[in-house]
Amino acid sequence: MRKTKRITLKIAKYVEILKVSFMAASAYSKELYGTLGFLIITLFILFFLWKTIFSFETGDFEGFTLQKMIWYVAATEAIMLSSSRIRLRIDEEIRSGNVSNFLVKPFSYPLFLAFDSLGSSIFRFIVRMPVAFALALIFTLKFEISLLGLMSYIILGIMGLFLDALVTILIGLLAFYVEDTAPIYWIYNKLLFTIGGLLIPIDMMPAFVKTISKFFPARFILYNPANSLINFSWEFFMESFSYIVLFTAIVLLLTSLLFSSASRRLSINGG
Amino acid sequence: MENKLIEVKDLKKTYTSKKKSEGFLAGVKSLIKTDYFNIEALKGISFDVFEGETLALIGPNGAGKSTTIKILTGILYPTEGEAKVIGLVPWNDRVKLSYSIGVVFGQRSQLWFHLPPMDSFNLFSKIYELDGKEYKKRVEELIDIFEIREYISVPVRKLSLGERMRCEIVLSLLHKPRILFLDEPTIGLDVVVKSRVRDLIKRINREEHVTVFLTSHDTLDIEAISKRVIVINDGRIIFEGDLNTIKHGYMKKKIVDLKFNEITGDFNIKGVNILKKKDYGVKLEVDLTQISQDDAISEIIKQGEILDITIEDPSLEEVIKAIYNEEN
Repeated sequence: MRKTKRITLKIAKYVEILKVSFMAASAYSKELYGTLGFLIITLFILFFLWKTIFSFETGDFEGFTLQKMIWYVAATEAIMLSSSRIRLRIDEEIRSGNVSNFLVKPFSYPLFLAFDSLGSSIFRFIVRMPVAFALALIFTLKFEISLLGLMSYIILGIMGLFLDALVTILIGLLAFYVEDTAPIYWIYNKLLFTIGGLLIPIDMMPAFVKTISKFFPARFILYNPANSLINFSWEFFMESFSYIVLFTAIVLLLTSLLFSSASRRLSINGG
Repeated sequence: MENKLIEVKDLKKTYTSKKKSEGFLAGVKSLIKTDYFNIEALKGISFDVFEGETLALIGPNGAGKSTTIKILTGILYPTEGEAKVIGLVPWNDRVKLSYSIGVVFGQRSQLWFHLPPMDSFNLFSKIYELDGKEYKKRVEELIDIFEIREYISVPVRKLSLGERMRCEIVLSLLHKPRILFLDEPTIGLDVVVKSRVRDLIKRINREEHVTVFLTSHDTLDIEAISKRVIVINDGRIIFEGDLNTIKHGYMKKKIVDLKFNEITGDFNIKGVNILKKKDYGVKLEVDLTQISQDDAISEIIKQGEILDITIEDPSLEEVIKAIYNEEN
C-alpha cells in the first residue's frame, strides 16, 4: 500500500510538471498566432505542390490519392510544428550553469525536461491540429479520416512527441561533452524531414529506405501517426504503438546513461 | 556538543579545462591534439557545521565558495575527500538529500518565468511530495512571513529582483528543509531590500531552527546573518572562527574620527596616520602594534581643542583584507 502511494506521488510530480509547462506555453499568445500563420502558409505551399504532382498522374501513388496526401501532409506538419524546443533551453542551462537549480530537486532532470517539453508540445499540438485539418477539409472538401483514425493519430502523435522530446534531450545533454549540439540536432531534424516522412510518405520511397527507416525513431514520430489517421487498421496501430514504446524505452535508457556519466564530469560555470 | 549536520574532510576539487592557445596555427594544431590543464578549485578543506548554526563562507571570486556549496548539495563530484550532509554523501544520495535541504542561488531563478510564483509553489509542493493540507498551511505561513501576498499572482517576469528573491527563498523553504544553502543571496539587491532579506533569513534561522550555510562576498551580509565565519582563499581555508574572534584577532587598527575647535599640532605621532583632514575634521588610523590606544588618545588630544571624538573598529571588509594580505 505504502509503495503504491509512493509511486503515485512520483507519477504525480511529472504530471504536474506537464500541467505547468502546458500553462506556461499558453502564455505566449502572440507567438502562437505567428506560428499558426507559418503553418497555414506551409500547408498551402505543400497542398499546391502535391496538386501539381498529381496533375501529371491519374489515380494514385502507392495507395495515396491527392485527397489522402493532403490530409497526410496536414497531419505530419501538425506534429512537426509541435515538436520539442527543449534543446535550446538545455544548451542555455548547461552553458549558464542554471542546471544547478534543477539538480538540487528531488526528480530526474532528464524526465523533468521530457515532461516539460511534452506539456508545451501538447499545447501546440492541440492548437495546430484543428487548424491543419480545417485547411485540409477546405482544400479537399472531403473527410479522409475516420474517428478511430483520429483517435489513433492523437494517441500515437502524443507518444511520438514524447519520443521526440527524449531524442532532443539526448542530443541536448551532449552539450556536457561537445561545445555545440546544433549540428547533431540539424542531422536529426533532417532525418525527420526524410525518413520521418514529413513531406513524402515512406511508402513512396525505395525499399531500402523503408527498411532503414525502421531502425530510427524518426518515422514513428511523424509517418506512423499520420498514416494511421488516413489508413487506420488495428494491426498498423498496434505495430506503431509497440515500436514507439520500444524506441521510447531505448532512448530513455540512453538518456539516463548519458546523464549519469555527464553529471560525474559536470563543471559549472560562474564561480 | 550539538548535532553535526555537515562534516567535510579534506575535500578537493580539480577542474580540467581545454587549453586554447592564441593564433591560427595553434587553432589548427588543436584540431589534432588538445592540451588540457588543471585548475585546483579546492585544495583540501575540512570543517563541520552544527544544527541551528549560521555559517558564512567568504572569500574573493574564484576562491572556491560556490564549488563547496555545489559539492555539499550534490551537484558536483569532488576529486578527493569526504563529506556528509545530514548523514548522506551528497553526490551519491543527491535526490534523497534534496528532500531535506533548500538551495537558493542568487544569480539563478527556479521560478517559472512566465507564470505567477504561486504556480511554481504548487508545482514544487508536488515535486517535494508534500501533503496537500500541510502544504496549504505552510505556504500561507511563508507568504505572511515574507510579505509576498501581493506578488504571488503576478507573472515572475514582472517582479523586481527583490520581490523575486523573496519568492525564491519561500520556494526553497516549502518542504521545511533542515539546512538552507544560500549562494550569494543578496547579489544585485539594493541596500533596503538587502537588509530586508537578511532579516528574513535570520528570522527563519531563529524561529524554525534551520541551519543556514551562506556564501557571500558582501561582508555586511555576514555581519548581519552569521555567527561563525570561514574565510577561504585560493581553495584553502585561511581562517575559521567566531565573528567576534575574527574581529578581535585581526583588529590591529582603530579608526579615530575627530572634530576640533582649533588645531595646534601636526599629528606627528608614532603609529598614527592621517587618513583624511579637512578644515577642523580629522580622520586618523591608529596602529595598535606600535602604540597603545590610551597613549594614542592622550597624544591626539594634545593636538588641539577637541569638540567631538569617535573611535571605531575597522569594518569586516578591512579585517578580511588584512587576513588575505597576511596569507599572501
